[in-house]
This record gives sequence, structure tokens and C-alpha cells, in this order.
Amino acid sequence: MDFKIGRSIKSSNGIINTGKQNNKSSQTNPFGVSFKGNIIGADVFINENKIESKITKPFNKMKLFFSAIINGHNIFNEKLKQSMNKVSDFANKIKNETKALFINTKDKIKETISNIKENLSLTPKEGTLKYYSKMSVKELENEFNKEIKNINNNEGSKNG
Amino acid sequence: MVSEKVANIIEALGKHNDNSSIEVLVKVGTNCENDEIRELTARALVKKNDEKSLRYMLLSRGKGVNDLSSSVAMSTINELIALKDKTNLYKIIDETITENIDNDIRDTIRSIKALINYSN
Repeated sequence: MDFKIGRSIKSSNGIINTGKQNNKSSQTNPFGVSFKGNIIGADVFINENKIESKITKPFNKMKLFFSAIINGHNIFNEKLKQSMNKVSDFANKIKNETKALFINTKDKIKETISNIKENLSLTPKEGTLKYYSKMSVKELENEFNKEIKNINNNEGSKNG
Repeated sequence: MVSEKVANIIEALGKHNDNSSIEVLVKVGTNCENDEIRELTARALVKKNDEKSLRYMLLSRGKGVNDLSSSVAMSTINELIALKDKTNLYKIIDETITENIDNDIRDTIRSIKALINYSN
């Protein structure tokens, strides 16, 4: 319990006051005790609100502030974790898509290069459609007969 | 399995501007023992969408839709159904249904007509 003494002791912040005279109120104080020969009176009690406002209020505020920090720290951690997960998911997605795109592009480039090579070459590769497209019907007929003979020979050798 | 070479030769003949390629395909391709070659030839002739080549595929006994191999006949029918311009095809079908004496061929053509109408 906070209290003040009547007269002689006066602190810089004025919380504690002392007084030697015994007034009526000190005699009626049920908690009346002596302090260095002075009687502590009921009227020496200081309004608690005043003390709280000067000492405990800032402290309470600090407590609240730190408690908020500690509680907030957990929430912040969770939020941070969630956002980090989101970021890593997004990064993974981008990575995979970029990889797939790169592979596709690589294949397309290869295909295009081989097509260009085939188109630019004066003599198309034997057996390709382009190679046969340049032939006359008579030449194609000969090729056709030759291939059918080969197939028949292969089938004949397989059978026996 | 037919080699890529043969498939390319048949395709080249099918795309050839010279119409004598039809005769080569009919003579060499449709008379071949190999089912796969006959199938590829029939498809190439239908894709040509020429009246002469379509007549071979629809009206000749043992060729195209009348082939003894069901896979050859079915793939020819599929190719006929897939044709974008069916003017020549309808002309031959209508003529055959009204004029052709051969009952078997007439029945086959009638069935093909029904299939084409159903698929449209």
C-alpha cells in the first residue's frame, strides 16, 4: 500500500510528505503506525491513481508493449512462414515452367534447324518424301517395284 | 511393318501431278500381297479425289472398299468419309446405285452412302 508521511521528508517528486502534528484524521486511522516518531495518518495516503499515472502506468504500458511484441512475434513468424512458402511455391512454379519452356524451345529450334538444313540441301536425303517428290512417275514405279520385291524377299527368307 | 520408304513412295505417287501415277498405284499398289501396302495405296488414291481414282476404289472388285481384307476396306471408307469435297464421290455413288448391274457392288455403295450421310 502506498502512503506518505506528514511533514519533514519531502521527496523530489512529492510523493512522500511528512507531518508531526497529530490531527483528527490520524487518530481515527485504523492502520495508524508511527514512523520515526511521526504518526502516519489516514490522510497521508496518496491517491493511487496519481501514483499509477506516474510510475506504474508507463511500466504497464511497457509490459503491454512487450507482450504485444511477444504475441506478435508468433503471428509474425507464422505469417512469415506462410509467405515464404508462397514465395517458394511461386519460385518453383516459375522454375518448372521456365525449364519446360526451355526444353520445348530447344526441341523446336532443333526441328527448325533440321528442316532448314533439309530444305537448303540440293540433294534431299534418300528415302524421304522430298527425295521421291522430285522423281517422275516412271522412276517412282521402278522404286515401288524394287521396294515390294525387297519386302517379298525378306518375307520369303523369314518363312523358310 | 512397311518401311518408311514405301510409305513415302506411295505418298509421292498420290501427290504427283501426272495422272499416270493413278495407273501405277492401281497396278502395283492395289495388287500387292501385303495388306498394309494395299491400305496405304487405297488411302492415297482416295485422297487424290480424282474421279478416275475414286472409281477404282469404289467399283473395282477386290480393290478399295471391295477389298477382301476388312482393314483395307474400312480404312478406304474412313478416307472417303474424311474427304472435304465429296462432289466426285456423290456423283459416282448416285450413278452406281441407279446404273450398276453388279448387285454386290451396288449394295456396298448403298451402305457407304448411308454411312456418309450418317457421319455428316
